[in-house]
Formats: sequence, structure tokens, C-alpha cells
Amino acid sequence: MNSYASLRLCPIWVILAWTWLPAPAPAREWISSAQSGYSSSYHTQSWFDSLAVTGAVPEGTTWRLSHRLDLLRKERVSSTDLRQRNQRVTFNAGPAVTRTLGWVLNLEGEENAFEESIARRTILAKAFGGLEWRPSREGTVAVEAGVVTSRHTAEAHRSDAGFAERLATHWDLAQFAGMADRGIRADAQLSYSGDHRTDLPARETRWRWHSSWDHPGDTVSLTWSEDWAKTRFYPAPDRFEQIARQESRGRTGRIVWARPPRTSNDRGLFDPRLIALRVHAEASTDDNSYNMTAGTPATLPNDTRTSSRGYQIESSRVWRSLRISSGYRYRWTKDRFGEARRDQTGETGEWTAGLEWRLSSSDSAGAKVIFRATSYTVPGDSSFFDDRDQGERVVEIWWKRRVSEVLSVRPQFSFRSFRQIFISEQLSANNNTDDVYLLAPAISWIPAPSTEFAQQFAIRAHYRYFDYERTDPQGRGTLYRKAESISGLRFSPMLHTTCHLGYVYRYEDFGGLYDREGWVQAVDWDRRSHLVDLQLSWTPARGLSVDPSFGLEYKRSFNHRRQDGDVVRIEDDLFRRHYIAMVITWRGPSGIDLDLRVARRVQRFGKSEKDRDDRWQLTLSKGLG
Amino acid sequence: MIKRIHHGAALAVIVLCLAGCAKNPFGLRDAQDPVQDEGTYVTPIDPVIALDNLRFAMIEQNIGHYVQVFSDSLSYRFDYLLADRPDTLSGWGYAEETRIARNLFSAAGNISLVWMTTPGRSDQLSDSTAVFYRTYTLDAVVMDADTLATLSCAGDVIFYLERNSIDLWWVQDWEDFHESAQRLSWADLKSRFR
Repeated sequence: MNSYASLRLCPIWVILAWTWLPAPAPAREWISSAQSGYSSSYHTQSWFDSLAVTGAVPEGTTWRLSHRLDLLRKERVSSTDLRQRNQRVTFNAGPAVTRTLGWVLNLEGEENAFEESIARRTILAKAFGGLEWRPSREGTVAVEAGVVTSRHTAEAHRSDAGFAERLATHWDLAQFAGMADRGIRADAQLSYSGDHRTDLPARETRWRWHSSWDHPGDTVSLTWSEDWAKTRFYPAPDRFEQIARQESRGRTGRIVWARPPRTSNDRGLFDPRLIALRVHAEASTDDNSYNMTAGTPATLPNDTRTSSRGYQIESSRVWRSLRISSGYRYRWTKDRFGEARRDQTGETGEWTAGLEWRLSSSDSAGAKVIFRATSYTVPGDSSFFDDRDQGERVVEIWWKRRVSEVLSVRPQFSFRSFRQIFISEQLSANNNTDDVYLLAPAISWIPAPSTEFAQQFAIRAHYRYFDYERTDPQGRGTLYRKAESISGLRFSPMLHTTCHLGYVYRYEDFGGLYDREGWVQAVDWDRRSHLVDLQLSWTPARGLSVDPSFGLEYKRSFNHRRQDGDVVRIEDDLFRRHYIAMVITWRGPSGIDLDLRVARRVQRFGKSEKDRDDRWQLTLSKGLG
Repeated sequence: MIKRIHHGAALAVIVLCLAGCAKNPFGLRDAQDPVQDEGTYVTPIDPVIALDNLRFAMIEQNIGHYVQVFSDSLSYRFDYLLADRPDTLSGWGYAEETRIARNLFSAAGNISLVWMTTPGRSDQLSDSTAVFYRTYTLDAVVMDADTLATLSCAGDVIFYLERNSIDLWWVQDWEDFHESAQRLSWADLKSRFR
């Protein structure tokens, strides 16, 4: 039977059936969980199903069975529907032989299929058996051997099979050496896997070392990890006579030092012993190289190498009613793409500073500043001309005043400037600066314990200046202005019921900037929007909640035309949208959870047809144990 | 008290040195005067403008404009790759996306990208999010084993956009689907330049 038939029919009754099936007598040796879900939205249907059972019977044997299925169907008008099916089933068991030795059994099956008639499908099956040795709490060694088979179904069929082996070991060396009591931690992990399928053998080794030292007050952490893998793959679709080989290697080293303030905070502001510090430094490289092993030469990806290094210093100081913080971050990266002219080096420096000041019992204020610069450089002989710099400055200032127990105000101002320049004459015509100013005062009023009112006004101006005259008629820049009023009312008219009513009015305009003995804006368009939002949250019984909501949006846009020196506003578009939604959640007995979401959205642009979108989603989950 | 004055004096000297002697570490380089017209990039105050910016950044191969189209937490996902690389990826994030785009632009001689609203679907707009369904054809002329080759791609994309903290729209999620198993998708093209 086609798996998608079940998806089309949406057999929720199937889920309901298993959800209400009598559960096996719960016992400590069994833990199981199951989840199913279906969602339908705008020509897309998806289904998922997952089951996991963990057991510890018979005594001394642990096992786990899991299955996950995902089905997706996207309806298309001009071509066949897009379908996708992914599923994976695993079974692991570990019967114990002695206290420190046990058997290991791992079975895995995976299927990935796409397209209408499952034109493209891969199936992978693995069966492993082995031993796991746990000589102490501090370490484990697991060795497994098994068989791997794979099958590709596309234009042609291709099967492959072979033996495989795996080894994984983990050691807590600090515990082993009895140094854990001195604040020292040292973990080492090593894993190796080999896959000897006839066409696509693969080998992979990973090792990771992590150590840290907790000095009284200080923490020093060192991490080093290396990955190495050699794998083969088919470089072209459905041409199995060609095989390519990839070798990848990655190295990462990291050191972190954190120091909290040593003594009480009432002493000098600049006493270095009172400053909390955190220093982080990291370096990494990733290499990928490719070559062909058989067949006629096919197109292969270029060899790549990515290197990066950087550090970050953060400091903070609490002094009386002040909290001051500052930090600097630096990062250098180099991307090599196998051809010198494509290589790129990037450098970023960022300085941040923050201040929070509690002025009195009812007043507090704060400020934040960020300076950031990034440079990208390319080799001198690059024909790509993308040597470029980016600079950013951000300033934020806020003040909060608690006028009374029930009333508070919070004005806020922010400025952000972003500048991007290309160095080369080929691209420098794009060089520009974006300046954004925002003023946003807000008021919060709680007249009664069950009622809260919030009001915010926001005025924003976004300037964009170009460094050079442009060829388009929009002047040397643009200005986007926006002003909005955001009102919100939350109240509880009765027990177990909360209402939220929101309203937003917004004005926006946009136009070119012209230098007429000072910058002037010529508005190209303006628009006004009204948004209403009503939400209700009702809890009629324990574990059950019902949350309906309704929203409305109305937006009118006008174009500005200049005729004989006058500006004429012409209506351009009228957008209307409303939605109604309902969310029902139920936490039932025996770990059953139900979540149902239903929504309808209707929108219309101008005189166009109404566009309706219905969506719903049902998720059922059940956990035992 | 004297110790406090010493601290203050030392701090003042450091600040003066930094302000007077050191080069501004956040200063940018000087650019050359342009010899070519500017590219196409409009401040994305509407979600559809952000999509236009993406299309023109591809066509004009302008990495500076391309990187501004996306959120820092971009999630790019695809159905599958026709060439089975050993790493079974289903997508990547912002850093990898911009790295791939730069590599592609540096290798491509010409890129053409045409898209239309996916038949049977209409875009979904709300106050702070937008979803666009597009059916595309993308042709890229690239160097392939020292000869120029045209890679022709087709498929469906879904763009999920959000209004960011400065009220501009950017692409938060991007899903890419093959038109058929016999034709390259945008993801296949990108994958060649990973």
C-alpha cells in the first residue's frame, strides 16, 4: 500500500486507537513513549510517528527500540506532487556477562525516499554485535563488528554490502588518577569506524580531549579535538561507475579562563581585583580534499581549507548601584577554495561597553555601545573585486521610572549606523551608509491585580546615504520613516480566564533624499495600517486549556505623484486580512498529551480574489513509566 | 587617597595615548572612485524587496548585497542532493551559505535567475512574518575542468522572512525542492561550491 494514502486519509482514528489501548502494566523496568502528529497547511501535508521503548528485562539486560517515520506531501499544480518519506528504526541491547563485561547488539535500518513514484530511494541496513568493557566508573571500551548493506534506487539500481567495525572508548582520567577532588577534570574520547562495502568503503577517526582546572574562584578549561575521515561517494547522480574519494580533517583548540571578583564590591572602582574577567581563545582548521579512484574524470569539488582563530575578553564590575561591563572580540578567518584568486581573509574586531545605574529606588538607567569593524581581503590578482569593509556603531540609552506601585515609564533611544564599502573601483559605486534612529517611550499601568495596560510609541527614521551619485533617479539616498502606537490590555474577567486585546496603528513613508542645500525627502509612497488582536485563554478544567484568538489587519497604501509642482496622493493598494485560530491542549491521565491547533486566514489585496488558508495540526503523545 | 590619584592619572595617560597616538582600530579603508554603475539593492522595508535584493545579488554576483539579505541565524534546507556526498547534509546556516555564495560568484561567469509565484499558491503576509513560494530556473555559467559549462537548475523554493530589530525584512528560513530527480536544483549548484 502506498504510504501516502494514509497521509491523504489522515487516519487520526489510528492514533486514537493506540493512544487508548490498554498499556502494559507499568513497571520500573519499562519506559516507553510514543508520539504521532498530522498537520495540513496550504497544500502541504505532513505526518510523523515516533515510538521509543526502553527496557531492563531480563535482569542485567538493557535494550532500546526506537522508530521514527516522517511523511511529507506538497501538492503542485504544474508538476507531480512532491513526496518525501524518511524512516529509521534502531534496536540496541546490552546483555551483561559479568559486572564489567557485556555483549552489545545494534541493529539499524534507514530509508530515505523522494518524488512521486519514489524515483529516488536509499535504504541502509546495519547489524553489529560486540563487547563492551567497563572496568570502572571512569572508563568504557566498546568493540563491535557487523555487516552493512545499502541499496540506491534512482534511474538505475545499485546495491552494495560489506563488513564493518567500530570502536569507541571514553575515559575520565582525572577521576582515574584521583585528581577530581583538586578541581581537575580530564576526559578523553576516541572513536573509530570502518565500513568495507565493496564500492563505498569509509573510515572515520575522532578524538577529543577536554581538561579543566577549578582553582578557588578561577576556572581554566582546555579543549582539543581532532576529526579525520576518509570516505568514498558517487560524484554524479546515477553514474555508479565513477567513484570519488574525500578526505577530511578538522582540528579545534580552545582555552577559557574565567575569574570572578575576589573581594567585596565596596572598594575602589578601578581595583583590578574586583573586576570579573573571562578570556576565551580558539583556533581551528578544516581541510577537505577530493580525488577520483576509478572511471573517467568527473567534476569534483575543489579542495578547501578553512582556518580561523580569535579571542574574546569580557569584564564586568558591580560597584554600589552601578554595573559596568566591557568586552573586546577579535576573529580572523581564511577561506581557501583551491584557487588562489578565490581565497578570502576576514578580520573582525568588536568592542562593547554597557552601563546600568540604579539612580534611586524608583529610577534606573542604562546605556550600551558597540563598535564593530570587519575587513575582507582577497589576493591582489583576484578578478572578483570583493575587497570590502563593514563598520557598525550602535548606541542605546534607556531610562526607567517607577512613578508609583502601579505606574512606570521607560523612554528609550537608539542609534545604529552601518557602513559598507567596496575598495575596488569596479564595485565602489555601491558604497553606502545606513543610519537608523529610534525613539520609543513606553508606559505600563496596572490599575488592579487582574488588569494590566501597556502603551508604547515608536518613531523611527532610517537614512541610507550613497557615497557617489547614482544612475537611478532616487537621489543620493533614501529615507524611510515609521511611527507607531502599540496598545495592549490584559485582564482576567473571571477565574481561569485571561483576555488580551491589542491594537497597533502605524504610519510609514518612503522616498529619495536630495541635496538641496541640505537633505530633503521627496516622499514616493505612504501607508497606514491598523492591526487588532484579541486572544482568550480559558482553563475550564485541570489539564485542559482552550485558547481562541482573532486578528484583523487593514492597510492602505498611497503613491505620491508630482504634477505641476504639486504632490498628488493616489491610492495604490488596500490590503485586508483576518484570521481566527483555536489551540486546545489537554494533559490527560497516563501521560497522554493532546495538542490541537486550527487556524483560518483570509487575505485580499486590492480587488484581487480572496485568498484563504486553512491549517490544522494534531499531536498526540503518550509516555509510560 | 594618593593611591586613588595614581590610579586616575594612569588611566588618564592610557586614554590620552589611545586617543592621540593609536590608529582608530574601527576605521575603514579608503575606496577607489567608481568606474561602473551601482548594483541593485533597495532598503528592504517590504518583504518582497528583500526577495528582489536576493535575486539581483545573484544575477549581479554581489556578495556584499547577498549577505545583507539573510538573518544571522539563517537556516537553509533542501530535500536532497543529486550527487551523494558522504556527509548526509540536509542544510546549513548563515556562515556556510555566505561562504558558498562567495565561492560560487568567484567561479561563475554569468548567472541568470528567473522565478515566479508557485502555481496554486499565494504568498502569506503578516505584520512581522512573510512566506513566499517561488518556482525558479537558475542558469550559471561556471568554469568546469578548464572549460565553461552551463549548469541549469530548476525547482521550488519557500522563503520565510521576518522583520528584524531595525524594521527591515530578511530571510530567516529557506527551503529548496527539486523540480524532478533528473534536474539539478539550486542546492545541487551550491553543493558544488562548498
